[in-house]
Amino acid sequence: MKIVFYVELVGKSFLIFLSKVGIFSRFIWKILSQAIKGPFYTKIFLNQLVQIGFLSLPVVGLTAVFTGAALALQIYSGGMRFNAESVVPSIVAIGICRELGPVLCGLIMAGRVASSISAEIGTMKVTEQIDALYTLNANPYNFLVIPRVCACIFSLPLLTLISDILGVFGGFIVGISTLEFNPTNYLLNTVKFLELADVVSGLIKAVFFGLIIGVLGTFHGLNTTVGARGVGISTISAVVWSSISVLAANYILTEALFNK
Amino acid sequence: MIKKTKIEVKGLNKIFGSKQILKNVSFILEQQEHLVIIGSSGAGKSMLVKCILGLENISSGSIFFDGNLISENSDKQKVLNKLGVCFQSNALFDSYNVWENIAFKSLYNDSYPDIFNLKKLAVERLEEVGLPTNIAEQYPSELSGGMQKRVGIARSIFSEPDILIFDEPTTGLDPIMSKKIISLIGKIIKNSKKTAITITHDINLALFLASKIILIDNGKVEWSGTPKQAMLSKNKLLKIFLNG
Repeated sequence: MKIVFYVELVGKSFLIFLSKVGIFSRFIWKILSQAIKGPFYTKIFLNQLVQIGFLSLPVVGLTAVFTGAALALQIYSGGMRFNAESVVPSIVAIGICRELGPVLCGLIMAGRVASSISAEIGTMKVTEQIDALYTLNANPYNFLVIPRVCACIFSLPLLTLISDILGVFGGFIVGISTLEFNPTNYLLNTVKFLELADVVSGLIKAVFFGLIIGVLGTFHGLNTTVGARGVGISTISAVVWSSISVLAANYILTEALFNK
Repeated sequence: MIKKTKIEVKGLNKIFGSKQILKNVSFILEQQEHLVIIGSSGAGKSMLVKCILGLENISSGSIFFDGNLISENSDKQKVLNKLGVCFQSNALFDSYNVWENIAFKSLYNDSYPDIFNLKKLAVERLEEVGLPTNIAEQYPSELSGGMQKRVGIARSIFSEPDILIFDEPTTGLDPIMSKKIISLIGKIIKNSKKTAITITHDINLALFLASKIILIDNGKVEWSGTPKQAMLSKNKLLKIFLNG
């Protein structure tokens, strides 16, 4: 009896998993087909660029400055153990540009943007606004999903670039104030070892993170079930799945871009 | 005058998992007729309208608009362009102001929308539904429930559709406001000579507005007829509705 129960449980879970994969695949197909069909709502896209990109600048910027500053201190204390304090500027720059800049930016955006997209669209779903869009000849995929996904794809690399600059700046401030580096030497060492590929690989990651955040935020929003509780559940799911997906994609992309 | 059939529903079934929501629903709605669908909560009234609007796929049966069969492959937008819908929850867009909500269809579908003219038309619709024109720039959240309902009605009539659909237009409103909304709907339909469908559980609304009534119970058409026939009917469920 117990074996039958467990087999049933595994079978049921597998079927639920397959149905979720099916729903998600259909969602992706709808985005692609509607993107080709059009129309593209430029005004809404620009508005979302401000909401998603510009308004995220303060939180992303502050995170980058403090992370760069903390990183400089940690590398200094670690480097001191084998007399390699001088590597602080280059390791901070490479660490921020290749890894911390895009990943932190991705995680912050997963929290700030995926949740807000999901909650907004989810509320529209439970208050019949999505149905109203259909009846008013505005396809929700063109009107809500595509502008948000595009805004995320455009915003993330820009925010990551700003995050890189501010992260290095945070390290620089700590380097010259607390760690007593010569400002000119610090900047020279930063530039000397930092390659264009380091920055570009981070920006490539950011494009994928933007895609993940936009798609998962809108997906969970549009699949919200009835009521306020449904909006809450979809918002949590959007944040959790976006964060996990950003971290998983980061590893896969790091492998792909490794040594490039 | 020979009246054209605007909507024909034949043997409509809707199944969700193991539950059958609509069971063999059939009716004909002719030009300038006002069909009122009544039934208790959960009877399947809203689902029936969602199926007609194409917002839900039907399990079996057929729906005809102006004699044309609507299938999954039909141009649903072409059909939706003929319809003006006022939703139960009003479904006004929070981030757009009142006039943008009313003129939404043209504002976001015309290639080069004439903003000045659209705003003027939206304000005219506001006057038609008895709202002050100075609320045009306000947001839906700043309006009372009754005002939001009127804005929803103004939006549904904005593009002068062939068929108007009102989903539970008096739900959540006080009795005085309900009466005002009922007479407003009656006035709009009478003046515009439009074909209309109204969903409600309010029998007074049905008797006042309808040229034809359908009573739905448990997904089935339990009774159909004119308001006069309804008053004389011996159908038990209809009697419960009539006697409150």
